[in-house]
Amino acid sequence: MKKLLFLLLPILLISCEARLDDDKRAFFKTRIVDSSGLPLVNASVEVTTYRSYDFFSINGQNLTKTSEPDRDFLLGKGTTDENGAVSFTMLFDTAYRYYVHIKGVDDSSKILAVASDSFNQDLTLDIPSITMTDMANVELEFINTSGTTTVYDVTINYFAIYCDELYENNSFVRDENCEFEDEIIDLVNQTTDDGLFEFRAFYPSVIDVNYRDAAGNEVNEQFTINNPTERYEINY
Amino acid sequence: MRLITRKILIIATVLSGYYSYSQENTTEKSHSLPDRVFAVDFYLQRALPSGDNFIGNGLSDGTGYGIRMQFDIYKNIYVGGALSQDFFSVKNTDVIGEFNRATKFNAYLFLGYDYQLNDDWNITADLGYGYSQNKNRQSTEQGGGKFRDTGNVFRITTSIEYNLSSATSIYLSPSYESISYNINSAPALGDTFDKGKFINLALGIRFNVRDYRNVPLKDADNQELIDLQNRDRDDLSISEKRKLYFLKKKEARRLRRERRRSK
Repeated sequence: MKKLLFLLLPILLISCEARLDDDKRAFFKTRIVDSSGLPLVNASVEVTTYRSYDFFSINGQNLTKTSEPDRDFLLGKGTTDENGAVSFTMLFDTAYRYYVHIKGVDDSSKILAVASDSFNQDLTLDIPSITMTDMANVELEFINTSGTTTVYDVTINYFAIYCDELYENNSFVRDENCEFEDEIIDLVNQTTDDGLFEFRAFYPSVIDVNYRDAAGNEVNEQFTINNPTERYEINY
Repeated sequence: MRLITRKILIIATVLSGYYSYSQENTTEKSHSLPDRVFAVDFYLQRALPSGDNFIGNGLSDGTGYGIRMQFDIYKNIYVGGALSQDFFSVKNTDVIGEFNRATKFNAYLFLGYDYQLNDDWNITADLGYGYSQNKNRQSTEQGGGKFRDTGNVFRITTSIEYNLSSATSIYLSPSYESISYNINSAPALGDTFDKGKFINLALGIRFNVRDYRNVPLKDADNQELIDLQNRDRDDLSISEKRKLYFLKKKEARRLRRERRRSK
Protein backbone atom coordinates (compact mmCIF):
# COMPACT_ATOMS: atom_id res chain seq x y z
CA MET A 1 0.00 0.00 0.00
CA LYS A 2 2.82 2.35 0.92
CA LYS A 3 4.60 1.57 -2.34
CA LEU A 4 1.41 2.21 -4.25
CA LEU A 5 1.11 5.62 -2.66
CA PHE A 6 4.72 6.39 -3.51
CA LEU A 7 3.94 5.41 -7.11
CA LEU A 8 0.80 7.51 -7.30
CA LEU A 9 2.36 10.66 -5.91
CA PRO A 10 4.86 11.32 -8.74
CA ILE A 11 2.28 10.31 -11.33
CA LEU A 12 -0.05 12.98 -9.95
CA LEU A 13 2.72 15.55 -9.75
CA ILE A 14 4.24 14.98 -13.18
CA SER A 15 2.25 16.29 -16.09
CA CYS A 16 1.56 13.67 -18.75
CA GLU A 17 1.04 16.25 -21.45
CA ALA A 18 3.05 16.38 -24.64
CA ARG A 19 4.48 19.85 -24.28
CA LEU A 20 5.63 22.58 -26.61
CA ASP A 21 7.46 25.63 -25.24
CA ASP A 22 5.27 28.10 -23.37
CA ASP A 23 5.16 31.79 -24.26
CA LYS A 24 7.08 31.56 -27.54
CA ARG A 25 6.40 32.28 -31.21
CA ALA A 26 9.06 31.75 -33.86
CA PHE A 27 9.25 32.85 -37.48
CA PHE A 28 10.26 30.82 -40.53
CA LYS A 29 11.36 32.24 -43.86
CA THR A 30 12.88 30.71 -47.00
CA ARG A 31 12.79 30.57 -50.79
CA ILE A 32 12.49 27.28 -52.63
CA VAL A 33 13.81 26.58 -56.11
CA ASP A 34 13.72 23.43 -58.20
CA SER A 35 16.81 21.54 -59.39
CA SER A 36 17.03 23.96 -62.36
CA GLY A 37 17.05 27.01 -60.10
CA LEU A 38 13.49 28.11 -60.96
CA PRO A 39 11.11 29.14 -58.15
CA LEU A 40 8.85 26.39 -56.88
CA VAL A 41 5.36 27.92 -56.91
CA ASN A 42 2.45 26.82 -54.65
CA ALA A 43 4.54 24.26 -52.84
CA SER A 44 3.34 23.18 -49.43
CA VAL A 45 5.90 23.77 -46.68
CA GLU A 46 5.63 22.43 -43.13
CA VAL A 47 8.05 22.64 -40.22
CA THR A 48 7.84 19.85 -37.66
CA THR A 49 9.85 18.57 -34.77
CA TYR A 50 10.06 15.06 -33.48
CA ARG A 51 7.68 14.40 -30.64
CA SER A 52 9.84 12.34 -28.38
CA TYR A 53 9.06 10.29 -25.34
CA ASP A 54 9.79 11.80 -21.99
CA PHE A 55 11.08 9.32 -19.47
CA PHE A 56 11.10 9.39 -15.74
CA SER A 57 12.20 6.81 -13.26
CA ILE A 58 10.50 5.40 -10.19
CA ASN A 59 12.26 2.85 -8.04
CA GLY A 60 14.72 2.25 -10.84
CA GLN A 61 11.97 1.50 -13.34
CA ASN A 62 11.75 3.72 -16.42
CA LEU A 63 8.28 4.91 -17.33
CA THR A 64 7.24 7.06 -20.27
CA LYS A 65 5.76 10.42 -19.50
CA THR A 66 4.00 10.80 -22.82
CA SER A 67 2.04 8.36 -24.91
CA GLU A 68 3.35 6.96 -28.17
CA PRO A 69 3.38 9.77 -30.71
CA ASP A 70 0.96 9.50 -33.63
CA ARG A 71 2.92 12.10 -35.51
CA ASP A 72 5.42 14.85 -34.98
CA PHE A 73 4.49 18.29 -33.71
CA LEU A 74 3.47 20.57 -36.55
CA LEU A 75 5.07 23.90 -35.68
CA GLY A 76 3.95 25.90 -38.71
CA LYS A 77 3.00 25.69 -42.37
CA GLY A 78 2.65 27.81 -45.46
CA THR A 79 2.59 27.88 -49.26
CA THR A 80 5.18 29.37 -51.58
CA ASP A 81 4.28 32.40 -53.70
CA GLU A 82 5.18 33.08 -57.37
CA ASN A 83 8.79 33.74 -56.36
CA GLY A 84 9.02 30.50 -54.41
CA ALA A 85 9.14 32.49 -51.16
CA VAL A 86 7.32 31.43 -48.04
CA SER A 87 7.22 32.74 -44.48
CA PHE A 88 5.00 31.93 -41.50
CA THR A 89 4.53 32.10 -37.76
CA MET A 90 5.69 29.03 -35.88
CA LEU A 91 5.18 27.52 -32.49
CA PHE A 92 8.44 26.59 -30.83
CA ASP A 93 9.75 23.47 -29.15
CA THR A 94 13.25 23.26 -27.75
CA ALA A 95 14.52 20.28 -29.71
CA TYR A 96 17.60 18.72 -31.27
CA ARG A 97 16.32 18.78 -34.83
CA TYR A 98 13.58 20.39 -36.86
CA TYR A 99 12.32 19.18 -40.22
CA VAL A 100 11.21 21.24 -43.19
CA HIS A 101 8.83 19.18 -45.35
CA ILE A 102 8.40 20.50 -48.87
CA LYS A 103 5.85 19.13 -51.29
CA GLY A 104 5.49 20.59 -54.78
CA VAL A 105 2.35 20.55 -56.89
CA ASP A 106 4.19 18.14 -59.23
CA ASP A 107 4.52 15.68 -56.31
CA SER A 108 8.18 16.49 -55.89
CA SER A 109 9.11 16.38 -52.24
CA LYS A 110 12.00 16.96 -49.90
CA ILE A 111 12.69 16.82 -46.20
CA LEU A 112 15.39 19.13 -44.90
CA ALA A 113 16.64 18.58 -41.37
CA VAL A 114 17.57 21.73 -39.48
CA ALA A 115 19.92 21.80 -36.53
CA SER A 116 18.68 23.64 -33.46
CA ASP A 117 21.51 26.19 -33.68
CA SER A 118 20.12 27.38 -37.02
CA PHE A 119 17.48 29.29 -35.08
CA ASN A 120 18.85 32.68 -34.27
CA GLN A 121 18.70 33.88 -30.70
CA ASP A 122 15.60 35.81 -31.72
CA LEU A 123 13.55 32.71 -32.62
CA THR A 124 13.97 33.25 -36.36
CA LEU A 125 14.78 30.47 -38.82
CA ASP A 126 15.83 32.13 -42.05
CA ILE A 127 17.14 29.77 -44.75
CA PRO A 128 18.01 31.94 -47.76
CA SER A 129 17.30 29.26 -50.36
CA ILE A 130 16.40 25.58 -50.51
CA THR A 131 17.00 23.62 -53.71
CA MET A 132 14.68 20.75 -54.40
CA THR A 133 16.44 17.49 -55.09
CA ASP A 134 15.14 14.80 -57.42
CA MET A 135 15.95 11.13 -57.43
CA ALA A 136 18.35 9.76 -59.98
CA ASN A 137 19.10 6.18 -61.05
CA VAL A 138 22.86 5.90 -61.11
CA GLU A 139 25.09 3.31 -62.73
CA LEU A 140 28.78 3.27 -61.86
CA GLU A 141 30.88 0.67 -63.64
CA PHE A 142 34.51 -0.26 -63.12
CA ILE A 143 35.93 -1.52 -66.44
CA ASN A 144 39.20 -3.40 -66.59
CA THR A 145 40.97 -1.95 -69.64
CA SER A 146 44.54 -2.68 -68.53
CA GLY A 147 44.11 -6.43 -67.98
CA THR A 148 45.32 -6.17 -64.39
CA THR A 149 44.52 -8.89 -61.90
CA THR A 150 44.71 -6.52 -58.93
CA VAL A 151 41.67 -6.60 -56.67
CA TYR A 152 40.50 -3.15 -55.65
CA ASP A 153 38.90 -2.17 -52.40
CA VAL A 154 36.08 0.22 -53.43
CA THR A 155 34.13 2.71 -51.32
CA ILE A 156 31.28 4.74 -52.84
CA ASN A 157 29.79 7.54 -50.81
CA TYR A 158 26.68 9.24 -52.17
CA PHE A 159 23.55 11.11 -51.13
CA ALA A 160 21.18 8.20 -50.58
CA ILE A 161 17.43 8.80 -50.85
CA TYR A 162 16.78 7.81 -47.26
CA CYS A 163 19.20 10.42 -45.96
CA ASP A 164 18.19 13.86 -44.76
CA GLU A 165 19.98 16.89 -45.95
CA LEU A 166 20.96 18.93 -42.91
CA TYR A 167 21.04 22.71 -42.60
CA GLU A 168 23.60 23.56 -39.96
CA ASN A 169 25.74 26.66 -39.35
CA ASN A 170 24.20 28.36 -42.40
CA SER A 171 25.23 25.63 -44.81
CA PHE A 172 23.81 22.42 -46.21
CA VAL A 173 25.51 19.17 -45.29
CA ARG A 174 24.56 15.55 -45.39
CA ASP A 175 23.12 14.24 -42.14
CA GLU A 176 26.07 12.81 -40.26
CA ASN A 177 23.93 9.89 -39.15
CA CYS A 178 23.81 8.77 -42.78
CA GLU A 179 27.48 8.99 -43.66
CA PHE A 180 28.32 5.45 -42.74
CA GLU A 181 25.06 3.89 -43.80
CA ASP A 182 25.02 5.14 -47.38
CA GLU A 183 28.45 3.92 -48.33
CA ILE A 184 28.92 1.02 -50.68
CA ILE A 185 32.01 -0.97 -49.70
CA ASP A 186 32.99 -3.82 -51.97
CA LEU A 187 35.82 -5.55 -53.82
CA VAL A 188 36.23 -5.17 -57.57
CA ASN A 189 38.04 -7.43 -60.04
CA GLN A 190 37.57 -10.61 -58.08
CA THR A 191 35.47 -11.88 -60.98
CA THR A 192 34.87 -10.54 -64.48
CA ASP A 193 31.38 -9.16 -63.75
CA ASP A 194 31.70 -7.58 -60.31
CA GLY A 195 32.39 -4.00 -61.47
CA LEU A 196 28.82 -2.68 -61.87
CA PHE A 197 27.07 -0.73 -59.08
CA GLU A 198 23.49 0.48 -59.41
CA PHE A 199 21.83 2.71 -56.83
CA ARG A 200 19.44 5.63 -56.38
CA ALA A 201 20.61 9.01 -55.16
CA PHE A 202 19.34 12.53 -54.91
CA TYR A 203 20.38 15.05 -57.50
CA PRO A 204 21.95 17.53 -57.78
CA SER A 205 24.56 15.87 -55.59
CA VAL A 206 28.10 14.52 -55.72
CA ILE A 207 29.34 10.92 -55.58
CA ASP A 208 32.69 10.25 -53.90
CA VAL A 209 34.48 7.15 -55.18
CA ASN A 210 37.57 5.79 -53.53
CA TYR A 211 39.40 2.65 -54.71
CA ARG A 212 42.63 1.15 -53.43
CA ASP A 213 44.79 -1.73 -54.58
CA ALA A 214 46.51 -4.30 -52.39
CA ALA A 215 49.71 -2.21 -52.32
CA GLY A 216 47.78 0.66 -50.76
CA ASN A 217 47.77 2.90 -53.83
CA GLU A 218 44.62 4.97 -53.54
CA VAL A 219 42.56 6.88 -56.12
CA ASN A 220 39.75 9.36 -55.36
CA GLU A 221 37.23 10.50 -57.94
CA GLN A 222 34.10 12.63 -57.78
CA PHE A 223 31.08 12.58 -60.08
CA THR A 224 28.26 15.10 -60.12
CA ILE A 225 24.70 13.82 -60.56
CA ASN A 226 22.64 16.30 -62.55
CA ASN A 227 20.10 14.14 -64.38
CA PRO A 228 17.43 11.55 -63.55
CA THR A 229 19.64 8.83 -65.00
CA GLU A 230 23.39 8.94 -64.91
CA ARG A 231 26.08 6.46 -65.93
CA TYR A 232 29.76 6.77 -65.08
CA GLU A 233 32.65 4.54 -66.03
CA ILE A 234 35.98 4.14 -64.31
CA ASN A 235 38.71 2.47 -66.35
CA TYR A 236 41.51 0.72 -64.53
CA MET B 1 -14.91 50.80 -33.66
CA ARG B 2 -13.01 48.84 -31.04
CA LEU B 3 -11.50 52.00 -29.66
CA ILE B 4 -14.97 53.53 -29.42
CA THR B 5 -16.29 50.52 -27.53
CA ARG B 6 -13.40 50.74 -25.11
CA LYS B 7 -13.95 54.43 -24.56
CA ILE B 8 -17.68 53.94 -24.00
CA LEU B 9 -17.00 51.27 -21.38
CA ILE B 10 -14.50 53.46 -19.57
CA ILE B 11 -16.78 56.50 -19.66
CA ALA B 12 -19.76 54.42 -18.48
CA THR B 13 -17.73 53.08 -15.59
CA VAL B 14 -16.54 56.52 -14.51
CA LEU B 15 -19.97 58.13 -14.93
CA SER B 16 -21.79 55.38 -13.07
CA GLY B 17 -19.35 55.70 -10.20
CA TYR B 18 -19.67 59.49 -10.14
CA TYR B 19 -23.45 59.34 -10.43
CA SER B 20 -23.67 56.80 -7.64
CA TYR B 21 -21.45 58.87 -5.39
CA SER B 22 -23.44 62.04 -6.07
CA GLN B 23 -26.74 60.31 -5.37
CA GLU B 24 -25.45 58.86 -2.16
CA ASN B 25 -24.42 62.27 -0.91
CA THR B 26 -27.30 64.45 -2.04
CA THR B 27 -30.46 62.43 -1.54
CA GLU B 28 -31.90 60.10 0.99
CA LYS B 29 -32.07 56.49 0.10
CA SER B 30 -35.24 55.73 -1.78
CA HIS B 31 -35.12 52.02 -1.09
CA SER B 32 -35.78 49.70 1.82
CA LEU B 33 -33.40 46.88 0.91
CA PRO B 34 -30.52 46.69 3.38
CA ASP B 35 -27.00 47.25 2.09
CA ARG B 36 -25.14 44.32 0.66
CA VAL B 37 -22.10 43.17 2.62
CA PHE B 38 -21.13 40.09 0.66
CA ALA B 39 -22.05 38.58 -2.69
CA VAL B 40 -21.07 35.58 -4.70
CA ASP B 41 -21.76 35.36 -8.43
CA PHE B 42 -21.96 32.55 -10.92
CA TYR B 43 -22.14 33.52 -14.55
CA LEU B 44 -22.00 32.35 -18.12
CA GLN B 45 -20.47 34.65 -20.67
CA ARG B 46 -19.87 35.21 -24.32
CA ALA B 47 -16.33 36.40 -24.93
CA LEU B 48 -15.51 38.33 -28.10
CA PRO B 49 -11.79 38.58 -28.97
CA SER B 50 -11.05 42.02 -30.37
CA GLY B 51 -8.25 44.28 -31.55
CA ASP B 52 -5.61 44.03 -34.24
CA ASN B 53 -3.52 41.40 -32.48
CA PHE B 54 -3.13 37.63 -32.39
CA ILE B 55 -6.20 37.28 -30.15
CA GLY B 56 -8.52 39.47 -32.21
CA ASN B 57 -7.38 38.06 -35.54
CA GLY B 58 -6.72 34.48 -34.47
CA LEU B 59 -9.52 33.35 -32.15
CA SER B 60 -13.24 32.85 -32.78
CA ASP B 61 -15.87 34.09 -30.33
CA GLY B 62 -15.83 31.97 -27.21
CA THR B 63 -18.05 30.89 -24.35
CA GLY B 64 -17.17 30.57 -20.71
CA TYR B 65 -18.14 30.69 -17.09
CA GLY B 66 -16.91 32.27 -13.93
CA ILE B 67 -17.30 32.87 -10.24
CA ARG B 68 -16.83 36.11 -8.31
CA MET B 69 -16.88 36.93 -4.63
CA GLN B 70 -17.05 40.46 -3.26
CA PHE B 71 -17.06 42.09 0.16
CA ASP B 72 -18.16 45.61 0.97
CA ILE B 73 -15.31 47.33 2.72
CA TYR B 74 -16.53 50.89 3.10
CA LYS B 75 -20.04 52.14 2.36
CA ASN B 76 -20.70 50.80 -1.14
CA ILE B 77 -17.11 50.21 -2.12
CA TYR B 78 -16.29 46.56 -2.49
CA VAL B 79 -13.28 44.36 -3.15
CA GLY B 80 -13.26 40.83 -4.39
CA GLY B 81 -11.69 38.04 -6.33
CA ALA B 82 -12.76 36.21 -9.43
CA LEU B 83 -11.97 33.11 -11.44
CA SER B 84 -13.11 32.52 -14.98
CA GLN B 85 -12.58 30.12 -17.83
CA ASP B 86 -13.44 30.67 -21.49
CA PHE B 87 -13.22 28.33 -24.44
CA PHE B 88 -12.20 29.41 -27.93
CA SER B 89 -11.49 27.77 -31.25
CA VAL B 90 -8.80 29.05 -33.57
CA LYS B 91 -10.02 30.75 -36.74
CA ASN B 92 -6.68 31.70 -38.28
CA THR B 93 -3.56 29.62 -37.63
CA ASP B 94 -1.51 31.89 -39.90
CA VAL B 95 -1.81 34.61 -37.27
CA ILE B 96 -1.88 32.78 -33.96
CA GLY B 97 0.13 29.61 -34.64
CA GLU B 98 -0.56 25.98 -35.45
CA PHE B 99 -3.12 24.87 -32.83
CA ASN B 100 -6.87 24.54 -32.89
CA ARG B 101 -8.31 25.53 -29.51
CA ALA B 102 -7.54 27.66 -26.50
CA THR B 103 -8.86 27.78 -22.96
CA LYS B 104 -8.42 31.13 -21.24
CA PHE B 105 -8.17 31.16 -17.46
CA ASN B 106 -8.28 34.39 -15.46
CA ALA B 107 -7.68 34.89 -11.75
CA TYR B 108 -7.88 38.49 -10.59
CA LEU B 109 -8.72 40.86 -7.76
CA PHE B 110 -11.01 43.83 -8.17
CA LEU B 111 -12.17 47.04 -6.52
CA GLY B 112 -15.53 48.55 -7.35
CA TYR B 113 -18.60 50.52 -6.42
CA ASP B 114 -22.08 49.16 -5.82
CA TYR B 115 -25.03 51.50 -6.29
CA GLN B 116 -28.62 50.57 -5.46
CA LEU B 117 -30.96 52.42 -7.81
CA ASN B 118 -34.08 51.17 -6.02
CA ASP B 119 -35.40 47.98 -4.47
CA ASP B 120 -35.30 46.22 -7.83
CA TRP B 121 -32.23 47.49 -9.59
CA ASN B 122 -28.51 47.79 -8.79
CA ILE B 123 -25.57 48.80 -10.87
CA THR B 124 -21.94 47.93 -10.17
CA ALA B 125 -18.63 48.82 -11.73
CA ASP B 126 -15.19 47.57 -10.84
CA LEU B 127 -11.59 47.48 -12.01
CA GLY B 128 -9.63 44.25 -11.76
CA TYR B 129 -6.05 43.10 -12.22
CA GLY B 130 -4.57 39.64 -12.13
CA TYR B 131 -3.17 36.61 -13.92
CA SER B 132 -4.30 35.28 -17.26
CA GLN B 133 -3.33 32.13 -19.08
CA ASN B 134 -4.32 30.64 -22.41
CA LYS B 135 -3.87 26.89 -22.50
CA ASN B 136 -3.51 26.03 -26.17
CA ARG B 137 -3.98 22.59 -27.68
CA GLN B 138 -3.16 21.11 -31.05
CA SER B 139 -5.46 18.67 -32.80
CA THR B 140 -4.28 15.09 -33.30
CA GLU B 141 -3.39 15.98 -36.91
CA GLN B 142 -1.22 18.82 -35.64
CA GLY B 143 0.65 16.53 -33.25
CA GLY B 144 -1.46 16.86 -30.11
CA GLY B 145 0.90 19.30 -28.40
CA LYS B 146 -0.06 21.62 -25.58
CA PHE B 147 1.47 24.88 -24.43
CA ARG B 148 0.56 28.07 -22.60
CA ASP B 149 0.51 31.77 -23.30
CA THR B 150 0.57 33.67 -20.02
CA GLY B 151 0.13 37.30 -19.06
CA ASN B 152 -1.56 39.85 -16.83
CA VAL B 153 -5.16 40.91 -17.23
CA PHE B 154 -6.62 44.35 -16.62
CA ARG B 155 -10.39 44.14 -16.51
CA ILE B 156 -13.24 46.65 -16.36
CA THR B 157 -16.50 45.01 -15.31
CA THR B 158 -19.91 46.64 -15.12
CA SER B 159 -23.23 45.08 -14.28
CA ILE B 160 -26.88 45.94 -14.11
CA GLU B 161 -28.67 43.77 -11.63
CA TYR B 162 -32.31 42.92 -10.94
CA ASN B 163 -33.17 41.76 -7.44
CA LEU B 164 -35.37 38.69 -7.40
CA SER B 165 -35.34 38.77 -3.61
CA SER B 166 -33.15 40.31 -0.96
CA ALA B 167 -30.82 37.34 -1.24
CA THR B 168 -30.86 36.60 -4.94
CA SER B 169 -30.49 38.68 -8.05
CA ILE B 170 -29.72 38.20 -11.71
CA TYR B 171 -27.50 40.48 -13.72
CA LEU B 172 -26.20 41.37 -17.12
CA SER B 173 -22.54 42.28 -17.14
CA PRO B 174 -20.59 43.83 -20.02
CA SER B 175 -16.86 43.83 -19.41
CA TYR B 176 -13.61 44.63 -21.16
CA GLU B 177 -10.29 42.84 -20.74
CA SER B 178 -6.86 43.88 -21.87
CA ILE B 179 -4.16 41.25 -21.41
CA SER B 180 -0.42 41.94 -21.59
CA TYR B 181 1.17 38.67 -22.64
CA ASN B 182 4.67 37.44 -21.72
CA ILE B 183 5.18 35.91 -25.17
CA ASN B 184 8.72 35.97 -26.53
CA SER B 185 8.27 36.34 -30.29
CA ALA B 186 10.52 36.75 -33.31
CA PRO B 187 11.14 40.39 -34.35
CA ALA B 188 9.51 39.80 -37.75
CA LEU B 189 6.18 39.22 -35.98
CA GLY B 190 6.14 42.78 -34.62
CA ASP B 191 3.97 43.51 -31.59
CA THR B 192 1.18 41.12 -32.62
CA PHE B 193 1.77 38.91 -29.59
CA ASP B 194 2.17 41.67 -27.00
CA LYS B 195 -1.49 42.23 -26.14
CA GLY B 196 -4.90 40.63 -26.42
CA LYS B 197 -8.29 42.20 -25.88
CA PHE B 198 -11.70 40.78 -25.12
CA ILE B 199 -15.18 42.23 -24.83
CA ASN B 200 -17.42 40.02 -22.72
CA LEU B 201 -21.13 39.90 -22.04
CA ALA B 202 -22.11 37.83 -19.03
CA LEU B 203 -25.44 36.69 -17.63
CA GLY B 204 -25.26 35.63 -14.03
CA ILE B 205 -26.93 34.95 -10.74
CA ARG B 206 -25.80 36.71 -7.56
CA PHE B 207 -26.37 35.53 -4.02
CA ASN B 208 -26.31 38.37 -1.50
CA VAL B 209 -25.75 38.68 2.20
CA ARG B 210 -27.16 41.98 3.49
CA ASP B 211 -26.68 44.04 6.57
CA TYR B 212 -29.95 43.72 8.51
CA ARG B 213 -28.69 45.52 11.58
CA ASN B 214 -30.04 48.82 10.27
CA VAL B 215 -33.46 47.63 9.10
CA PRO B 216 -36.09 50.10 10.40
CA LEU B 217 -38.54 48.47 12.79
CA LYS B 218 -41.10 51.23 13.21
CA ASP B 219 -43.75 49.42 11.24
CA ALA B 220 -42.92 46.03 12.56
CA ASP B 221 -45.76 44.15 14.14
CA ASN B 222 -43.51 41.38 15.27
CA GLN B 223 -43.21 41.77 19.02
CA GLU B 224 -40.48 39.19 19.34
CA LEU B 225 -38.32 41.06 16.85
CA ILE B 226 -38.84 44.33 18.70
CA ASP B 227 -37.99 42.68 22.02
CA LEU B 228 -34.78 41.21 20.69
CA GLN B 229 -33.88 44.47 19.01
CA ASN B 230 -34.32 46.39 22.22
CA ARG B 231 -32.07 44.14 24.23
CA ASP B 232 -28.34 44.69 24.51
CA ARG B 233 -26.74 42.69 21.70
CA ASP B 234 -23.99 41.46 23.96
CA ASP B 235 -26.57 39.79 26.18
CA LEU B 236 -28.09 37.78 23.35
CA SER B 237 -27.27 34.11 23.00
CA ILE B 238 -26.06 32.76 19.68
CA SER B 239 -29.47 31.28 18.89
CA GLU B 240 -31.12 34.62 19.73
CA LYS B 241 -28.71 36.48 17.48
CA ARG B 242 -29.47 34.04 14.73
CA LYS B 243 -33.18 34.45 15.32
CA LEU B 244 -32.81 38.23 15.22
CA TYR B 245 -30.99 38.03 11.92
CA PHE B 246 -33.70 35.97 10.26
CA LEU B 247 -36.52 38.03 11.77
CA LYS B 248 -34.91 41.17 10.39
CA LYS B 249 -34.54 39.52 7.05
CA LYS B 250 -38.18 38.55 7.12
CA GLU B 251 -39.15 42.06 8.16
CA ALA B 252 -37.11 43.55 5.36
CA ARG B 253 -38.84 41.27 2.91
CA ARG B 254 -42.23 42.32 4.25
CA LEU B 255 -41.36 46.00 4.00
CA ARG B 256 -40.16 45.51 0.47
CA ARG B 257 -43.35 43.71 -0.49
CA GLU B 258 -45.43 46.50 0.98
CA ARG B 259 -43.41 49.07 -0.84
CA ARG B 260 -44.00 47.29 -4.12
CA ARG B 261 -47.74 47.08 -3.50
CA SER B 262 -47.95 50.76 -2.74
CA LYS B 263 -46.37 51.76 -6.05
